[in-house]
Amino acid sequence: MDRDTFVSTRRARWDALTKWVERPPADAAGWTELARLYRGVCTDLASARSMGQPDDVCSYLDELAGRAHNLMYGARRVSGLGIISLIASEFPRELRKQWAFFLLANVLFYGPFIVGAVGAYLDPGFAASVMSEAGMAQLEDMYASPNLARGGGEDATMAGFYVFNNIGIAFRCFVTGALVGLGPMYVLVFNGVSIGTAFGHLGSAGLLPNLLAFTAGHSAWELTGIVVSGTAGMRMGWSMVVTEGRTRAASMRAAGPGLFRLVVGTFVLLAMAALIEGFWSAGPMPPLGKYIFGLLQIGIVTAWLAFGGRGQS
Amino acid sequence: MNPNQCRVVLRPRGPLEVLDLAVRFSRESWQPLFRLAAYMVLPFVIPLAVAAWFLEGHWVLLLAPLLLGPIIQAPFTLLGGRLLFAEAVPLWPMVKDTLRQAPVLLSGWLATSVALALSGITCFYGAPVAQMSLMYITETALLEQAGVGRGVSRSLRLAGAALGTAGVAAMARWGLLSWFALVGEAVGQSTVGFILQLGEPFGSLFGGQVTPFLLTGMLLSQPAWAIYRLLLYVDVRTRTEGWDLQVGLRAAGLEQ
Amino acid sequence: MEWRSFHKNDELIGCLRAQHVRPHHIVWVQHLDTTALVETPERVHFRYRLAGPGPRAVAWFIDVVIRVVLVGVVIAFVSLLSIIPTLAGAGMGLLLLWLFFLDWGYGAAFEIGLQGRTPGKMAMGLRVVRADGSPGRVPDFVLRNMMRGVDFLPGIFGIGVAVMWWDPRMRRLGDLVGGTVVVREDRSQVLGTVAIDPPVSEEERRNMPGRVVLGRDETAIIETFLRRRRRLSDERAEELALLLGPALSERTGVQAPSWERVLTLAYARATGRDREAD
Repeated sequence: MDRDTFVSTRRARWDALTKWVERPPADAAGWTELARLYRGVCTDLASARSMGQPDDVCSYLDELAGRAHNLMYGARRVSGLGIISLIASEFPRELRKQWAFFLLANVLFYGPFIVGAVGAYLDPGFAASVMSEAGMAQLEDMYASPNLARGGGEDATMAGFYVFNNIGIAFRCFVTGALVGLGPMYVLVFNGVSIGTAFGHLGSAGLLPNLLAFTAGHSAWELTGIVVSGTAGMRMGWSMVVTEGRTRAASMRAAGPGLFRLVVGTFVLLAMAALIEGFWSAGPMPPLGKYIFGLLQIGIVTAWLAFGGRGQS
Repeated sequence: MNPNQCRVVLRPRGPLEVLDLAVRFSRESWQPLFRLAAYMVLPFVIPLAVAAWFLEGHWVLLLAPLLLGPIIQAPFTLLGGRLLFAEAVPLWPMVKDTLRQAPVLLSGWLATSVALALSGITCFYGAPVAQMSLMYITETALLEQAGVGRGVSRSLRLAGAALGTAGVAAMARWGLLSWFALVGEAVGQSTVGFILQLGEPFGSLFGGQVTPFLLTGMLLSQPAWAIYRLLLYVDVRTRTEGWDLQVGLRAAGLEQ
Repeated sequence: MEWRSFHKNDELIGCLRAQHVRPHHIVWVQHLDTTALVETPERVHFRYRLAGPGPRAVAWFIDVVIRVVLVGVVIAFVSLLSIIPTLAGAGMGLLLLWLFFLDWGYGAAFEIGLQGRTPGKMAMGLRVVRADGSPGRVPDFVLRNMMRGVDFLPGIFGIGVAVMWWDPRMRRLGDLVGGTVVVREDRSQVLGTVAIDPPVSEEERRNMPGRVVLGRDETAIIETFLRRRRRLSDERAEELALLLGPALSERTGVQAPSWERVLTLAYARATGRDREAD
């Protein structure tokens, strides 16, 4: 069949489908019509190919069928309930599923932390090799008193800063997992040593109670958040290296949904940490109260991660 | 249309789409291209590093890749042109063919330099125009076996027929150069400074020094530009002279 | 004339001759183009046009400009706000939150809201879709935009462009993890009917052989030639027709004063268009 006949007998159907594609149907009748036209256009495309119709007809039909296909297998709407279930149960379950990477991340963080703390506590030279003189002086200034001196408006600024800085570090820790997992390892070790050294140095200066009072409230959230981001990063690196028979691209794509849940969890953990650190930790509550609150936070985080999403298939 | 003799599907494209095609083409035929790049670029890396060391990163070093550029690009134009039609292209005969056209190429580059210098009259606002109009000289010399005069007029004609393409290409040329330079610098500095922990023996771009990493990057951008320009040439000829028709009709004719 | 002499010296074509290989023996396993093939559950194959570093770099740059403007707007707003001392802290906090959002969430927010497009991508006619052509989902968009942090290293998108170069579908690390692909969305048109101009005359019809059979490729190339005829000069068209004309004339028996007319008449007779009324 020659081209003109082919085009003219089917043109009406193509134009009708184009109209639907440009203004998606609003009701069931419209969708049925769209589906019927789509099937017709698919048949036309197959005929065009087998008849050897020219390229411009085939690519036009290709594209029309493609757009209609995309429209029909459309995206799901984001639902509010979905987000809550994601945070409350899907994330903890994913984390427990990746327990091996979570364990490794904890070791890579707390190991250097202990080394840094003990080393800085026992030996001033150790602290000097990790931090600069100015850094150490600034630390001692900050925690000279039990309550940090901050103006009222500054709390909001600091909360914003913690979001910008800490969540940024955690996200960078996650994405550098693409460097075959080496990025997160480096970030975890580096941060572990830095924070541990800070603790140790302040301990040797006798300012440890001030530091503990400040960090008690948010450290459960923040440190866990960093460790979870490292978990996700290493899991991503793993999917690049160990492909289990799939292509590398397919392996990375398969890991995607799990990584997304871990990333959401990281964000929630660190956002809570930023809120607490910004608005509560520097407050006027006595140290005992802060310690109790801190223990409460540890309990909440542990319960959430250990029991969230259990009992569901 | 079925010109199944050409490696790439010949159809009219825009300059950005041709850049994508150049990326795919260089990926599919990476072995001969990388081999030639190794031969053409590596010999210059050590001398440039030494020069950078002794000149302490003076900006005059930047002239080296710019002057070496056309020399490095020429064989790639011919190699790319042949790779469009053949799977395996022996390198040495191709280099010989390039050298055979050396006088034409040299006069072409001289003409370009003269045009650029003359554009100084317009305070160098005319420089991009001069560069754009003469950009296909290498292709006409090597792929059409044209002499200098004819090459210049052909290049003017092709550039004029697709002004938008030529404009984008002129920008892309400097974009490619800068991109390769920056990435080369970043890779070099992070390897030497961060992974090997050797500090900054050659200085750094942020300190205002021209490092051998920067220069190597600029040298490596020359083959990329040559391949891109070749595919732009094919695209302009397809659009304005029906070169895809030429290939297809010839194939049909030979099959009779 | 200029056309003829340059055509004879065309090295690219001469290449075929020099290799003493008849053209149809060179069969490329895959003609190279920036497209990808998708098969849907309905067994429909369609091709989508991939977008690589070229258009995507421009789209990214446009997005950068927009982000700079957005930062500027909020900075101005916050400066106004800090006139009131109690709100100054909140204003700074807001600015920091905004910077964080623009860093990590700008792309994802737009791609989720606008079905796979950011303003920069819209300007360039690009769209982010899943590998099978279906629309992207929220996790895909979030992951691919976060991964831009590592695709950006070293320099400017060093790893990103390298991965795009390596991958046959020009995906960067973000696209690999998110399972997405960036496609061009130009609307192609069904072209009008081929003009046979001037139409086949009565005399020409009489002089043609009764039956002219053209192969599928021959029909296709002659049709493309006739479509583009208007953009070619007369000499160039005749020169092109010369490549096929003599051999075709000999085989089919179609005679005409010019080779171009030979092709046109053969095409018209083979596709049944020679009986069109004037």
